[in-house]
Amino acid sequence: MFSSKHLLGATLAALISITPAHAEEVIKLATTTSTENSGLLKELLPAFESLSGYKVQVIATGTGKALALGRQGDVDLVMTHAPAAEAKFVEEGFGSEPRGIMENDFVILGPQNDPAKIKGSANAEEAFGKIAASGVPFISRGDDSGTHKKELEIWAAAGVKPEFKGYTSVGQGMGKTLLMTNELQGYTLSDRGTYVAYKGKLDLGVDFDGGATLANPYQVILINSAKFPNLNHKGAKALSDWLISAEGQQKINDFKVQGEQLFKATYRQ
Amino acid sequence: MASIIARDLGMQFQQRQLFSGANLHFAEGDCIYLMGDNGSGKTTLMKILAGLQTPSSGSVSAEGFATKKLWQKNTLNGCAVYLHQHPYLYDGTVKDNLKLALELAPADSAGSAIAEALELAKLGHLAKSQASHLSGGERQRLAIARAWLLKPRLLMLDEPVSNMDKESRELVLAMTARLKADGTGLLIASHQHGQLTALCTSRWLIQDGRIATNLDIRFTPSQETHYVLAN
Amino acid sequence: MNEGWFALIQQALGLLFSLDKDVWSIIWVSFGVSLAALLITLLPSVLLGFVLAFTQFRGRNFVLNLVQTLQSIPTVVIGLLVYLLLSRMGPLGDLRWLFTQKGMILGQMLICAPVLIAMSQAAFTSADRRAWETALTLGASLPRAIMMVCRELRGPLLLAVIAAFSRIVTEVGCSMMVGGNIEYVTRNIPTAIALETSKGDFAQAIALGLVLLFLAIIMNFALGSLRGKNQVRSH
Repeated sequence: MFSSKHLLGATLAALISITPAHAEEVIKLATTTSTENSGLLKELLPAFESLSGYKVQVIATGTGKALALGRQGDVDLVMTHAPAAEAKFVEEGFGSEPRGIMENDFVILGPQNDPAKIKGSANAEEAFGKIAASGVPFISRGDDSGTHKKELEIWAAAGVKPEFKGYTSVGQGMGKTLLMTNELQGYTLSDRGTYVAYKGKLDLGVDFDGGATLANPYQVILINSAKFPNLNHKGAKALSDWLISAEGQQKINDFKVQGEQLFKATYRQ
Repeated sequence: MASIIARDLGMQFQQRQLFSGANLHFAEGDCIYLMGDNGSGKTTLMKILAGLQTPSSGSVSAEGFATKKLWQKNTLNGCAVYLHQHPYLYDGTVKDNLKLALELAPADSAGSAIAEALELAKLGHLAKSQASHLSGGERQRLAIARAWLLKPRLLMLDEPVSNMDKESRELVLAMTARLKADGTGLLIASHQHGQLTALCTSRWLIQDGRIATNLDIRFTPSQETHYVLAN
Repeated sequence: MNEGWFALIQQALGLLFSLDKDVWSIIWVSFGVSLAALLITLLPSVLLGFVLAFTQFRGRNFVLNLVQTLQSIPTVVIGLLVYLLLSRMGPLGDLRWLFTQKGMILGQMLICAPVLIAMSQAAFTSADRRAWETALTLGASLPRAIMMVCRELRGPLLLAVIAAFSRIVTEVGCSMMVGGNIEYVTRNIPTAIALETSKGDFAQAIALGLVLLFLAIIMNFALGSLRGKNQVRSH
């Protein structure tokens, strides 16, 4: 004979055994719009999820906000591309185990006819100098993102203050900035991934690319478990480990948009 | 001589015919008592003559008035001035309302002093009061004083003394007499014969869809009783 | 976390009272653009409200319904419409107004006009018809008579103006799309708040939010005292 108590207990046990452990197994990843917009994460994450059973929630934003979310303990790990800010993030004890997993590169986009004549410049700094001198608008993300930080680095290296007449700071994501650059027929600095994804909508061309300055390394960083013990550190570590695994690195290299490889896997022990 | 002439005037609201086929002549120097039951169309007729409402049929024209300003809504506006039974006073003091009249006065009529208007209406002690705080009688006096400042050639008063205290009634009577003495043509609507309508020298009667004019000014006792009862 | 909040608000107030150049540029753009849009639309909208309330004409109901509908359209949809009009491929692309203050003003005009028209129409409908008739019979010209009626209705009309202004000064969708949030040019309070929040820089966002809050408080108190003065008048 089953007492009703037993019955209840058995039912509960059955329920628990069939309820997926999702609630605990969500990983919150703050990353930049460039990885989300390009479609890379859609390629990588399902493979990781089916392998590990974790569910990854992506918060795609600028590098600045992604790191801010990490600082507040609102996410389990971050994936960003601003080396200086990331170093500070780790140094201040918010992040741990930074790993360079891949890189792509930045390109300088401009009108097809290249009015500032930056094609054939020796390096990105020279190209920026020519744009500033030409009076053609330069559209800056101005949103504290990794791309924006890279742009400011180049201005500093070129010895130009980004306050000249054509300098237009729009405070928007990469996609919107590309559309605005197209409307205004100016120049802008973009990551190659977003540019390729938007190519069809733009009347802009790559007027300058290549060189060490324009390399764009991505790091994945865990959140310090001493500071925020209640996060899903196990899941975050699993995702980070998978991204540097042979399979993860291969998937990054295989990812193509419109036939172009966008990211180069770069993890080195 | 300034006058308003209505030809073959008719007015109806939806199915209700107020009057039709009226030929009217209202001129300077006239003092007309407009009679009719409540709802017979006295107010409507006055508004038509003032150019505030459009008649269903017939025409109204003004003669002998100075050429109109630009941007007039209706060329009749401002010819025969119409005073509502419950006059509208603009937000502001008693004096503000009188000043307004001076601002609107046609250029050819010299504006009289506000002090004189206040004296006429016996509102001097209230000059700085808000117009909205006046009693019914005081409002009517102020409205007449405001119209008087315009030096109108023709003035229409809609039930000016109905439901009014004795003092105000006498003042309105005196003001009306003053206007009459100045030569202003008066059209006074009332459903009640009294001292005010006794000033009149002719009368119009709206009855059974007609407007009778050229009526004998003397009243038959039956008629008088009829109009007294109506109040 | 509480300490964090306190520090943020302190920082925000610091930005405001130290007359931080960036913050004040944003406030200036916000007010300049919205006031321009309001002033351009004010007179025609109030006149249309007057015509809708005081006259009967063919198509009056159509105009009324159109105004009501426009009032409830989200501002991003108006933004989209203006964006498509002004984009390089759009019919007005040659004006080169996209991502300029002129473009923003155009968008905000489309947002504030329906509010002004509908609310002034309601105000005029509630007006005492005798105010209008008295003005006319005392010989006022048409514009003068309209002004006299407007003066009588200054409470509800001011309410319409304030409602329209607060709608456009707080509006983010259209400003972001058409203005483009360009620093010192088309970056206004709402788009700046959106940006600073996305950057994780909350102090400036709070400073700007406080400006809007102060504005709302001032407007509400102004309205409150107006309502107090506008007691129901007997006739």
